Amino acid sequence: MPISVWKHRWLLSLILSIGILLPTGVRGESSLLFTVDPWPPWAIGDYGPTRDGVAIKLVSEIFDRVGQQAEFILHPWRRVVKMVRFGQADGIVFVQKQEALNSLIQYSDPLFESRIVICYDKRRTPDFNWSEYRDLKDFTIGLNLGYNYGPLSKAIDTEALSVAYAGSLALNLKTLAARHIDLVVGSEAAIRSLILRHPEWDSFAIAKKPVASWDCHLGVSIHSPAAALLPSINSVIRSMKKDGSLKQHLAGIGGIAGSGDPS
Amino acid sequence: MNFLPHHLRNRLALRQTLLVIFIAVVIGLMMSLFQAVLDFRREEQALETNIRQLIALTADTASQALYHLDEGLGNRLTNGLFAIPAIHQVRFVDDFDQEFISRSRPPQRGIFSPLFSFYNLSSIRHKEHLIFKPNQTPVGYIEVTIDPYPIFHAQILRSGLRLVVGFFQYFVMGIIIAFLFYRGLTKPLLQMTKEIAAINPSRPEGRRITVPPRHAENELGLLGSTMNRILAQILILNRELEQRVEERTAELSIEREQLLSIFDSIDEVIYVADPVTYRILFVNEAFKRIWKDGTGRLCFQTLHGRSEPCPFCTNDRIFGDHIGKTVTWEYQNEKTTNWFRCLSRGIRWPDGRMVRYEMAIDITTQKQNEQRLEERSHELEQINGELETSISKLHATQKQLVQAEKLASLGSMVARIAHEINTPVGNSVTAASFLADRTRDLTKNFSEGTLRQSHLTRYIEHANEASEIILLNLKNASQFVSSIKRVAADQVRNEPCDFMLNEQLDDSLISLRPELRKTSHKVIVNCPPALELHADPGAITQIVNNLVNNSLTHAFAPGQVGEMRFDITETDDMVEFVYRDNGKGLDPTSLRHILDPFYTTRRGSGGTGLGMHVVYNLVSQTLKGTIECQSPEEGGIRVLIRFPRKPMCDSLSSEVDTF
Repeated sequence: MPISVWKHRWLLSLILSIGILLPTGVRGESSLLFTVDPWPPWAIGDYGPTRDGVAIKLVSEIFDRVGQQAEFILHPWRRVVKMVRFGQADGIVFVQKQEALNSLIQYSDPLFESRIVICYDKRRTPDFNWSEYRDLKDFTIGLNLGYNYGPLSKAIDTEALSVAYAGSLALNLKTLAARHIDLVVGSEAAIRSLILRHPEWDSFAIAKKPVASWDCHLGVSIHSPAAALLPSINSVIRSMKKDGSLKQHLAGIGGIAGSGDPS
Repeated sequence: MNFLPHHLRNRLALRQTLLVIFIAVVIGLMMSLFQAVLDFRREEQALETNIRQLIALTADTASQALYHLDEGLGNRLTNGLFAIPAIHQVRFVDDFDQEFISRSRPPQRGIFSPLFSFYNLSSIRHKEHLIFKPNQTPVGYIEVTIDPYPIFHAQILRSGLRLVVGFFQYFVMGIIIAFLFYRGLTKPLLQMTKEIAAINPSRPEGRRITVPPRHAENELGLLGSTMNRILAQILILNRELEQRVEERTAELSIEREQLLSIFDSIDEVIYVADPVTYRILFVNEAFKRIWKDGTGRLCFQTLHGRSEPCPFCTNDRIFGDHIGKTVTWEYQNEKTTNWFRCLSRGIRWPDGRMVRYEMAIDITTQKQNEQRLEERSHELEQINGELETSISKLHATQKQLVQAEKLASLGSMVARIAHEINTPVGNSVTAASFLADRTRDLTKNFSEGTLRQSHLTRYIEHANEASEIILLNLKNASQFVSSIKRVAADQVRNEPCDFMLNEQLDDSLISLRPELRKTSHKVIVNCPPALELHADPGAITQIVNNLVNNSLTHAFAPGQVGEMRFDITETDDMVEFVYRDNGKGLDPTSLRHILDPFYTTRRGSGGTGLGMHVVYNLVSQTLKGTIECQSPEEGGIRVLIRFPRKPMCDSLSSEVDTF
């Protein structure tokens, strides 16, 4: 060690200490870990690390613009929440605002709107439309097992709606195509993405009125160093909305618009 | 077997049967317990293996539940595991170290719980870490706890059942064996035993054992024929023994009579008593003379007139571990006042019991002699004390005598001095009287006017002559007095001082001149003129005085012209002082005792026997020297005195204290 540097070893120690003690996000050296449950087309892949999915790519670009590396991993929803609670993940890739998570995460500006819609077959019910849940009484509705459909779940009991459960949205759509059910309730993005991948389902259409809709946000753990980056993230989101790059990400899914989209 | 009637309890067949059953049951119980423990361990291992397999089978589902944190799936899995009774607790713990599912039920316990606790058997835990295989994510672990009590309980029941079955099995076998044993062995044996019991072993006469039918060739037949041979031998031996017993009894009777007659012939008291009953079994004649025949009476009553055993009884010292030892002790019989020395010993009496043999020797006379001796010793001690007192008085008398000797010596000296002074003083008085007469005659002639020239001339001649005589005599007296004064001063001073030995000898001899002048003896002194001593000069004078006086008194015959010599030499600060005379000398006895106090050959002629003893004391005490008296063959006495030139002089008075 040169003598001059050795003489100022207290200064060197201070620099090293600051470097070690600073949050990793600020340092910009180690990557952040964000997690979410698989939800095509937003997050595609099996449980485990992924770079695929509209939301994954969108959030990845946001962190690129912020200047922070981020990695993404898919887990069941309960595990996602528990990882954030126990500090094993820095946040959730996209999440609807909900009271149960308010003590765990801070929400970014909205990224896009997620809607639960009703898909029908134009060949069988070309003029399908609905305004109240009782309008659905004459149809058999295909639902995903274990999913919560908000007000629809309650109406199933109150209006005595006819429902059939399947293990996945794709299976419900296949059942719809096979004419065993009349309607399928699911994420608009997921339905549109599946229809695009299955040309034989081009007769499927989506009702104008959604069953439910909400904005999706990037959720950042309040205990994560990434929380300090939230103003920068929001700034990037606004700029991406302004320059249309956010819309380009959503364009892969037919008819989906970003939340707060100026267009 | 105390629960059985006495006649059954001693039956060999029954005893054997019960013994077989007992041993079989004990062995069966031990084997069953051992088997139970082995079975339990095996069951436990099997259960553990099963549980591991079960966990391995359910691992995927469990990891699924933990990965998805699906409580429903976890609960369903738990329910499935709890279908196994041995499982006591199931826990799912996720990779966040959070208890995801935990369910338990109380451990089973029953009547064998104490035994279960005794073996210290505790719950067994199995823990399996789980990995969600699709993405190889560790998701926590599952923990299953097994309660081994149900297995233990089942094993104990099985073992108990085995034991009961075994017991009946062994019991039946035992009965069959006992029956066969009875028929084949016990019954004929009993028959033979009865026949043997009916035979008087001391008088078997012609009785023989009957061998049971069909047993002539087996062990029972051999036993019967052997017994018969033994009976025949016993018969012969009995006869021989009876003859020998008769002979031996006769011998013993003779020996006993001889022994008792020996006891009787001993002139000391002998008796034999039973140590338990204290009854006298035998007394000899000497005993009878004092206490009459005490046979059959109590020893302490007969001998000591006591109502209970004597406190000094030596029974505890001659029996038990002390058998064969003789205890000797003495006591005075209160009844007869005699003293006895007793020899007690445990011996075997002809009837086989151990008895107390005691010989009491009358030592009354010896004791009386001892007492007399003691009294005589006491008297001797008193006499000895009186003698010591007499010796003390004698010593005092010795001191007085020494003092008297000194006074006598002083008187003699005074007489010698008076005599020595009297002559010159008398001559002086005569000369002075003669001068006074001549002076009176001259005065008369002068008064009468008859004084002539011739008178005056004669008077002057007479006056000159008388004056010379007076002057000469008074000068001699003065010289003598000076010498005496110096000797006297030396005698009184008793302190060491420096002096010339030659001069001291001359002075000492002057005081002896009156005695010497009466004789024709010569005193020759041969002493180095420059020999100076640092000592008590009075001691030298006293020694010279006593030696010369001793020779004058004892050595010479009347009319003999003797010679006394003092030859003094000095070597290495030691003075050798040799005195000798040419007198008649001493016989060996006198020579041996000459230095002893009061030894004299002239007791009746005024000798005190202390002169030479005083010399001895002065040499040894005052001059720190040695003295040796010899009587040489040429005659006379030779006294050799050696002393240091500068001795540490003590007080002259110490010579007296040495007596």
